[in-house]
Amino acid sequence: MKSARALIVGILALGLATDASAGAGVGGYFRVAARPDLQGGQGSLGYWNLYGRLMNEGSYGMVDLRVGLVEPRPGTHDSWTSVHARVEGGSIAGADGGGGSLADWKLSEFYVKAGNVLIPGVEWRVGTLYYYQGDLGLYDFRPSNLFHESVGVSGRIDNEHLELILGIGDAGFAMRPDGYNTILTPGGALRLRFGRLELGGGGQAYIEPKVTGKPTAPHVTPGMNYEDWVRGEVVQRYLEENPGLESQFTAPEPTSALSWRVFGYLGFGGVGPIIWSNTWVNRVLLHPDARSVEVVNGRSYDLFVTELTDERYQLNIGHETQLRVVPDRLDAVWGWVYGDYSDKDNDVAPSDHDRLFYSTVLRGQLYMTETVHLLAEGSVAREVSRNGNAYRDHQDSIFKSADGISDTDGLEWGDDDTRDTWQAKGGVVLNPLGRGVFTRPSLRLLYGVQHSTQNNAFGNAFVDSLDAQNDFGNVERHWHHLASLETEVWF
Amino acid sequence: MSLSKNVYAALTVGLLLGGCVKPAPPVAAPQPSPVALAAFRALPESTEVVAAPDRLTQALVEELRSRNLVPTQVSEVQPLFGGGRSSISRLEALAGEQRDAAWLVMVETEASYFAQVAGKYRWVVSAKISLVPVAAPDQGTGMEVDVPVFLQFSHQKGDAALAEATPTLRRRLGELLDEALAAPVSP
Repeated sequence: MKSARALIVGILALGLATDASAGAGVGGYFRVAARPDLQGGQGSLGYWNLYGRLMNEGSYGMVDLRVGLVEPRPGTHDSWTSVHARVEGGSIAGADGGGGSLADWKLSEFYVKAGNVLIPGVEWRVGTLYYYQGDLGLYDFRPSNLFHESVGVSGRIDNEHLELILGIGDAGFAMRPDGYNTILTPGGALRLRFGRLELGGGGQAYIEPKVTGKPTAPHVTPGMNYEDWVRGEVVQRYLEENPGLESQFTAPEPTSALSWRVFGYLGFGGVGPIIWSNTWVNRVLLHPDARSVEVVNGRSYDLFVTELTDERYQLNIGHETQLRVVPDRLDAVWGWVYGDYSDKDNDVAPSDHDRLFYSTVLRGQLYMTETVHLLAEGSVAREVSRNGNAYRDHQDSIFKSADGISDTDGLEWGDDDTRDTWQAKGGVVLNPLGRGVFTRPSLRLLYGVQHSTQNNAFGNAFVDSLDAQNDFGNVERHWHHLASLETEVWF
Repeated sequence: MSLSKNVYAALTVGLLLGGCVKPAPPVAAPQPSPVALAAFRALPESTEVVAAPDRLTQALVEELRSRNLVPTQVSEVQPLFGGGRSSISRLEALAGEQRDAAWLVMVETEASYFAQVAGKYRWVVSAKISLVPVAAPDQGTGMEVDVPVFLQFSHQKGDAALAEATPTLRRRLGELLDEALAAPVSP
């Protein structure tokens, strides 16, 4: 841990020290907020970005270092190369529970770029390969992301009419941090530009080969039942059927694993009040889990679960349009997302892999002066669990249930399968660099309100036990109010 | 009204008042002076330059006018420069064509892509701003500045980066003019 911290501090120092020298630069991003919550929350208005990122995200920081070892020479095909490193994390001292610890930060990217090597006009990248074609700014979602977990090599062409990237890497360490196994990730993306119209698409596979004799490679424990696994009763069932045979618990069988993601993109702009409009759709098959552990009578048993987790599909559609409603006076951004997640292995328990959700967010920014703006944002969202109840609507809602009836052995949670949420936020924004919804730095004083059908639908540390011995009591609360003094900056 | 509401109200008023602070008036020339303005961007793929986007040139023109200067834009600079890329050769080439102006302001810019940072495309606009007497282009004053800007879309390239850097470049030109006009050197 100490060496990791030393490395992070070293890169930060290197970035700051080399900024003034030729070919070196440091950039980054920070956001920090003071959000006193008089209702007992932990500093976010709601649970997650489905209601808009504003006031639903916490502290974050990122420092990006670029050192140009050999800069491109204009008008030539001379080779060039640069080194990039990125440190990022989600804790800033005094602004969250992490205390600003560097343990919450990581060296998330490191790569070397080189151009005009072997093939003129191709930009090679070796190292971490994370790539995306843009994001939904209101949500901080990136449906087009590729190679997020990969270390390898990519080649990229980017000009006025076309962007093409092809790459291959290994995502084994990122996806199997507790037990490395090679996961090959070939993929690519293409974006075509026709003036103010863009079309794009891409995809990536995750190929984890079968390796006999390696415990961290994909395996299957034969004969497992999904419900037993979700209840943590696989070993118990085995021992009921095979008393005294603890040491002969079912041997795993090696297998392979395959997953993938594909996306499509449409973008256009410069039409009437539309500055730009982005729409992405992606279809994802998540990579299966490797194993879980059950402890019975003090003994640990490894369960290899590839077969129980290899049919988790996602469909995500996201849209965002930026509008210049009244030039130099009022801008707006409108976005929506739709998610349809299904887990074909799971028909018994609610989970984040088996749900439907959709939401829309509208933000307006009124320019009182060049630097003083008023901001207003609203969002409406619905989340539906496919496998029964997943939400507690009241302070005295049941916990575990089956078919809506209290059952301590039930796999459902609460008394509702749907969560409806709306939020409204508004306040004053100071933008020293002028107009623009996404112009930064921004200094903001905001007030936000949320209504949710779920009780206490925000990060909290409440005691929600219904036990008579609960000395703290609990409370029915569907409205949540929050003030935020915050700043956000790209630099 | 509760204490927390009072605090929030005070903060709001403070922020609003802070945003209305008026900047110090610029230093103005004692009498209207003709100035030639050449603002351009070096192309990354060739040795040529192209005119800076309108948003930047208009902002620079306004900054000059606010100091009682009378700017004239030099729109076609590439034919004057030929293959010359040094600042002094460019200043001399411009000065040779702008005999009616007393001063010459040249804003040389270059936009280079840095990386995608938290969803935005970070570019760096490097600018060299020169203010010289037309009669003696090898004399005068100048400054160099790197301005990081964040573009939202991948199709936005060099011109968009310059447009985004406009407020900072305008301010830096103002600082240069303030210094020069406060301690004038005869053209």
